[in-house]
Amino acid sequence: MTDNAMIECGERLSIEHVEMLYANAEQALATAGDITLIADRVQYCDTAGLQLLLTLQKTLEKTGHKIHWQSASDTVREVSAYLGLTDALNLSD
Amino acid sequence: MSIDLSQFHQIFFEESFEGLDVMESQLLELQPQEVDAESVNTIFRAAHSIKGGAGTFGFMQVSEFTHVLETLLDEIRSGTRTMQRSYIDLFLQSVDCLRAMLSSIQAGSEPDMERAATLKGSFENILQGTSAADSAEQDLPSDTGNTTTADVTESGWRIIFNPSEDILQTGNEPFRMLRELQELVGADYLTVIPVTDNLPEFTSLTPENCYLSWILEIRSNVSRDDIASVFEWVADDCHIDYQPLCAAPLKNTHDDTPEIRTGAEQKSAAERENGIPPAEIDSGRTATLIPEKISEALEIAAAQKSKPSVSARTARSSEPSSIRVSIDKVDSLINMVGELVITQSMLGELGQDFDMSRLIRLQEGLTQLEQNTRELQESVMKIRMMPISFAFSRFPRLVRDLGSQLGKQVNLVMLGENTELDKTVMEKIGDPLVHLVRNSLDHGLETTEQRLASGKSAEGTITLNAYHQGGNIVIEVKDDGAGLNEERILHKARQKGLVPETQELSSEEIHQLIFLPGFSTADVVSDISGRGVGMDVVRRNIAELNGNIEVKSVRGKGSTFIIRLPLTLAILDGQLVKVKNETYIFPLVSIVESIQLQKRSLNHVTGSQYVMKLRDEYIPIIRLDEFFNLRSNDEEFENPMLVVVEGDNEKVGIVVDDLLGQQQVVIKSLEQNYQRVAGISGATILGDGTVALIIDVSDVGKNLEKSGKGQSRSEQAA
Repeated sequence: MTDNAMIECGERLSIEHVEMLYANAEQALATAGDITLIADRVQYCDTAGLQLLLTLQKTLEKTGHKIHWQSASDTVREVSAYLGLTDALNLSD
Repeated sequence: MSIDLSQFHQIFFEESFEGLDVMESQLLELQPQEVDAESVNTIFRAAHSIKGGAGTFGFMQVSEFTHVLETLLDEIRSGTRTMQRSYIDLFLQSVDCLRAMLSSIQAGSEPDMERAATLKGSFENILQGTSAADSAEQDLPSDTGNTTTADVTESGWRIIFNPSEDILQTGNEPFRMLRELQELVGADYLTVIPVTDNLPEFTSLTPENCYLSWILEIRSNVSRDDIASVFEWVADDCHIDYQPLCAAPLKNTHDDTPEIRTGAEQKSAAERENGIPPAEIDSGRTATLIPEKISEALEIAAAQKSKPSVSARTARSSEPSSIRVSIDKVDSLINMVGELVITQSMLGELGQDFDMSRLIRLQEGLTQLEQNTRELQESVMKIRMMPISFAFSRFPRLVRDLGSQLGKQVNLVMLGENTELDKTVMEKIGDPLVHLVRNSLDHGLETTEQRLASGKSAEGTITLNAYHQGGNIVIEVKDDGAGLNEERILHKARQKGLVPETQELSSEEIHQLIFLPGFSTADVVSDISGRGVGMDVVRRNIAELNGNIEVKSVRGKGSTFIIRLPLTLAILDGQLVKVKNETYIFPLVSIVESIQLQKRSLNHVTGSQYVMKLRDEYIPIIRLDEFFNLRSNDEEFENPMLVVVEGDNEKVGIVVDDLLGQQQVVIKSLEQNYQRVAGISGATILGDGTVALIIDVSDVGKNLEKSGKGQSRSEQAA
């Protein structure tokens, strides 16, 4: 069994941090399993941050995997809803 | 950290005034029957920029006022409404109003909101369809049917929102727009469907780019304008397509794109699906109509998304920027400086190890230096040169408005608009030109009835022409009107005591009378002209620019005012003269002729005053050495030269010892560096380092009159 990789999203899931998040996600992808996101501390979130996670999700789907949310702050849920990405990001659970 | 936005105010004002100029010129070219879409877009973009900038800087009066005219423009450009003559008039009045508002704000005072409120009311009446002119004039389609793009639809809107790839990097955040849209229409009536087809593979992702687009379904009777206001800041950076809904909910046609609703919507959507529909649903029509349209829109969206984002930037960068100097001129300047540096380097090397065998190379180097300096000077001067179209641009509007006011049909022809002249000269010639054009319209051109009666076309023509001639710029204001009425002018002049009853004047002299202070033949004093204040001011203003004005007129055929100006105020073409041990400079443009003075042709008038008969006229003679107190009173002329100059339309003969060469001189202000001196307009430094004073020809003449030494032409003739 492969261990799930985990990504800690920090306090800002936004464009100024997407480069770093991208690097973390790239490493996580290399584990070839599902990826768990920890996003309970996220206080600011924007389209760039969520778009990156959506791209990650779509890439995982191709290998039969997906992202899980260990936790997601209200901000993440709210912005995802405005952008219509709640279902696509598996946040509707 | 907060940014002090006031540092950008000046740029905003400059750009806004430029935008208003663009709006005005495009509006004047618009023909309601044949509206050019690009012209409307250009006007819209200018208004949009002003509105956006005003909002950013907190000039809300401007922003709110611009919003209503922008709304009407948007309806016209989207085809919802057809352009009408009354709209063009209203837009032009709005341009004036905005100009006044911006000028007030720029000057730190409160803008006049009364006028803005009146205009805003007119726009709102049109937009609400209550304007009398609107309902009478507008050619509304009789059957709007299902092709309507009306402002408000009963069923709502489907919007394809496809941001440019770099939108996230510009700080424009889609989720904020979608949040604002939700607040506008209500969460229950908005469905947000993300289109994710363009998301790349993770390894190809540039995370700062935007690959998403959205289909937004609004089931509410919110107006398109209100929706557009949500996206107004990104309108130029996005493809936004508005489709009126045909009462059908949107079905997602993309297999991999699930229908997703916001949290609150999901609940209400479920309610709707359980029998509480917010609008009539016709799934049959949805199946046949909507997918095609959406697919088409998405194809466009995808195609645009796949284009490199640089295209959008390129489109923006091709718009006029705030740089006033063409890059060619700057490049030329840099090139000249480069040449100068090379020459300086060569001379420096020569100087380090110089002996007489290298004298020829030194001379060549100095010649090169002289050439470089001259070219550099020319290049620098060119930077200040601007096409006269900047001064001409105000006239289409002026002629249009005045023509309407006076009930005259006028065709304005502008020639030589690319003729360049110095920026300062341009700024100062604007008002005199306005006066001349107003005068031509008011007094020159006849009424339509008069023109037809005299066998002319109903439409009068005013021609503005600019061209270079011998180092000067010549500007002509020509009309094909009635021409100057010489009898009437002479009669008025005699009535006012400006010309003795017995004195006969040539046609040319009669024409010159119109430049006398207080002279007007207008029967009716209007706000256009006729107060007798103007033509003398025109001549004085032109004289202050070292220029002159003349008029040619043929009765029944029209008049032409011809202005001659130096290309620049910084450099003067001068005639160097010698008086005692001093060198003085006459502006070449002022010199009529220079002759050897014959003592026998002088007539002694009184004291030390003389006049001289030069062909058919007597001209007062001034000794420059006496004027500047360079000689004792009893000193006699010794083979002097006479420079006949003309200032304020009066000829004066100025006696000098000798004529030297002619050359261009750089004018230095005497007032700034020393103080005002009578008869002197400035100074310059000659090649040998000495200072030479530049003669103010008009001032010399005036001082002569003040001192009572000069006598009027009529007195002399008598």
